[in-house]
Amino acid sequence: MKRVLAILFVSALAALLLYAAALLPPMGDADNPTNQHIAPRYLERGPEEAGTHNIVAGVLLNYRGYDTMAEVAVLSAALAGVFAVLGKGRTRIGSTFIDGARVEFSIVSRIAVILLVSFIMLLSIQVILQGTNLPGGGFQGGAAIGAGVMISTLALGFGRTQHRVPYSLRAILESTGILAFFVVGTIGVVSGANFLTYTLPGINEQAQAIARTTMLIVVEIGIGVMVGAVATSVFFALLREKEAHDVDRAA
Amino acid sequence: MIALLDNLNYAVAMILFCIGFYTVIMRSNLIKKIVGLTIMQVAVFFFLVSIGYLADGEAPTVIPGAPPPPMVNPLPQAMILTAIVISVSTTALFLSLALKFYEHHGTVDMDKAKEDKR
Amino acid sequence: MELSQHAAIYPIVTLLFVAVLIPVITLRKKNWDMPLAGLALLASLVLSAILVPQVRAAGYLSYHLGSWEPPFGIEIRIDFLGALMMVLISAICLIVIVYSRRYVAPARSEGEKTFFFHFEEMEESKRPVYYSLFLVISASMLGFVASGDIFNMFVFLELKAICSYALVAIPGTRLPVRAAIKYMLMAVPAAMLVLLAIGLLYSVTGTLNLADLAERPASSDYAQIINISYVILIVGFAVKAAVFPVHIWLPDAHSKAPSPVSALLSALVVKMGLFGIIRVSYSAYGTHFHSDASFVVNIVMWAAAIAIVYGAIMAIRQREFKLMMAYGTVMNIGYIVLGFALIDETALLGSMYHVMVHALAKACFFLCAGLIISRSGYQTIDDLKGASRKMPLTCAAFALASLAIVGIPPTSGFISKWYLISGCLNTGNIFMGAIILAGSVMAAVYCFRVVYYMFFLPPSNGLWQEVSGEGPASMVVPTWILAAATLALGFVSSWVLPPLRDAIASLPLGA
Repeated sequence: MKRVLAILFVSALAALLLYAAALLPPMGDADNPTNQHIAPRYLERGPEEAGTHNIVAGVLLNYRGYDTMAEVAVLSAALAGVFAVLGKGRTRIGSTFIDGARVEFSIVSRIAVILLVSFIMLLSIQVILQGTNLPGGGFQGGAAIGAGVMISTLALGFGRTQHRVPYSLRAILESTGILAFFVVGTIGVVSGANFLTYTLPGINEQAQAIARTTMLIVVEIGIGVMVGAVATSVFFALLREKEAHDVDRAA
Repeated sequence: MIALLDNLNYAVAMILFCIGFYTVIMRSNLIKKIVGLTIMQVAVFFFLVSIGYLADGEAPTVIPGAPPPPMVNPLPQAMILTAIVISVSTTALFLSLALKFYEHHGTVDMDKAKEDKR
Repeated sequence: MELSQHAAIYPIVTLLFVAVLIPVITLRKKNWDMPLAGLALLASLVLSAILVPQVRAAGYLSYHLGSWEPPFGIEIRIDFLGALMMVLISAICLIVIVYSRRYVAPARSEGEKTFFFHFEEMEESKRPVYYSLFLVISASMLGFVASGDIFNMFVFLELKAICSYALVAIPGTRLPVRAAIKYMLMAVPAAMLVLLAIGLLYSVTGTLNLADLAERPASSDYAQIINISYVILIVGFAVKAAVFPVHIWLPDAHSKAPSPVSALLSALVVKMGLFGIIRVSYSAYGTHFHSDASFVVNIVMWAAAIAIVYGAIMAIRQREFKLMMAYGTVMNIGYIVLGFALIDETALLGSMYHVMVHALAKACFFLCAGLIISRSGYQTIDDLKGASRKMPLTCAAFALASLAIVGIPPTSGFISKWYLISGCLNTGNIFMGAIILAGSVMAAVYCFRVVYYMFFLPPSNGLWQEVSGEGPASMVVPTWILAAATLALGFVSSWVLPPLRDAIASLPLGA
């Protein structure tokens, strides 16, 4: 009964949405409203106005930087949420999966992983720094940092990885995203423009362009570091950080 | 029907959205529900990125010196970058809730947990 | 650019900034979390208050982030209603966070009970997280009401949603976690509907700015798309606002959460969905359709009427008082949606005023409930018999707030219902007027029954004997400030209502 109702409801929804899809302007047409109103300005003047050759990054950080600030706050909130839900205490279930899985990796695979992780970290730095001009950026690079930490945890064990990035360090790194936006935005206000205007007070136009690029890169780095730290912390929290730490110490 | 074939991307996104929605309401397993939510989110991202498509358009990255080719709309791409981060955050939070649920009930199945009256 | 204009953005970013600083600072200074959070909220209250006269003089305030002129950048657009909401949000958050200090604090001495969730002490690691989430959710609500860009509204809506799931589940025990899961299972698909609707709207108009959406009539080929996107958007916001058929997550989430969180959720967070509906209906879609909307509006009106009756009946039937209050929220959401669906200036005025009345009174209700639960551990209405002998101040605050919820003349609740009913009469909907009246009577039943139990019945078989008395002043005083505010809002109505009326008169009311 429930299944029939659900199928009917979902079919009705699908019919409505497909009807909408059929009525939408043809995909990829240059005359579409989306390609007429705002987008041409981004494409034509983006590189010189926003200071990025990668126009998506220009929209993300400059034209709509406020959205990105809120998005960074979403990440912080999600991390706080994971901490809020899981806490750090031991719960009714005696052991989580990480306690049981204590298979030692061979020396070959461990060294291979160390090499691999170092290259991942280099790549992520590259992705973060080139974000304003080429595909890439803080979020992508930060995600790569997180992936590196995860691979290292799987191969080297929890304690050894966690030792490198202790909680107190991560707590500071996690605040860099909002911090970068707040500082850069406030510099804009001090120079007499609005919040999140990438400009410095009292310098000529040529220096202004350099300052703008520098500030964009500062924000990218802030986001990248923060995303990496948040990904690491969420991963550790889902592994039940404190328990695993105690287990490793006891072993 | 012809219009739907023109807008095949949109149609696929809408169907994907409904599949995800069906998964969310019909599966009692929390992990499968999370998978369903993720399918819904991906469907919307697919829809949004298709909106920004321009026939024969290039990625919106300017190479200095070269004459700019026709480029796709960058705004939907920036929008889905924001939305992807939101969806990742939501998924992380939901997974931690599922983990907690598992610790309380010993199962991630919501129907089975209902019988658990402790 | 005058310096005071920046008051539009700094309430939001200051809160976000302090929210991420708290986990860092508490690494060294454990007790600085609450003072920092309180100061940040105080600053945002002052800044929001600066906005009100500015907005009153200019009609609305438009702030262009990054100095990009809209629609190319994001615009913050605050009208008088938005400014009032910002003040209300900062004020209630400040009051609740002061209340929270002792609520989440550890026991001071051996053997003393803590105030947190059913006397379980809050884990130490969760305390800074609680304050961070609290600040982020306040910032997200401020950002949402201030925003003039539909995608930006979505981002802040999701920021708010993620914080509220986490805050519901913060005790980590069985029922709150289940309530949070139920909440997420409804709210996340709703958010995706909102995003889908934004995509549809963007694909036919090419813009995301609310004012620009209103000014750019899409070509008539796309009228159907506009209507479909409107319906989807309204459904998405309605789930977030717990309008009748999709309210089922609300009673669980609001009653199983810790009491200060319930106060915040019921008073402010559900109102954001309603604010979103009002915002997009009058700003973005205001000029797009005139006659096609009446069908949707009629459905919404009937849903609201059912919500009033259903919410009231369910509230009367509950045995737990927090559940009763949660169903009361379902009912009051019905009032607000009804006032908006009547499409009449007077009714809209009543409904917007009711947003404020209900925010203050319901926050006061949940703070009272928190005091009672954290002092005695009693949760059912029957246990409340004779409560006034031990906790007279708490019970009096509850009685004052229930006067406003029911709508007894000198309080603010009377004024909002007066406008709602005259709106019904203006548009000839006598039946809806009768439903509002009947709802008030039923509200009187469930509120005054509790008041009667508290003041006029003796405690049953040995209850209340071990309870030592009132809670600490840092919890009772915030509760009383809210109770007094529900009264005071009635007396300052002559100051609040005329500008609000002007703000509403400037909206395009066409249908």
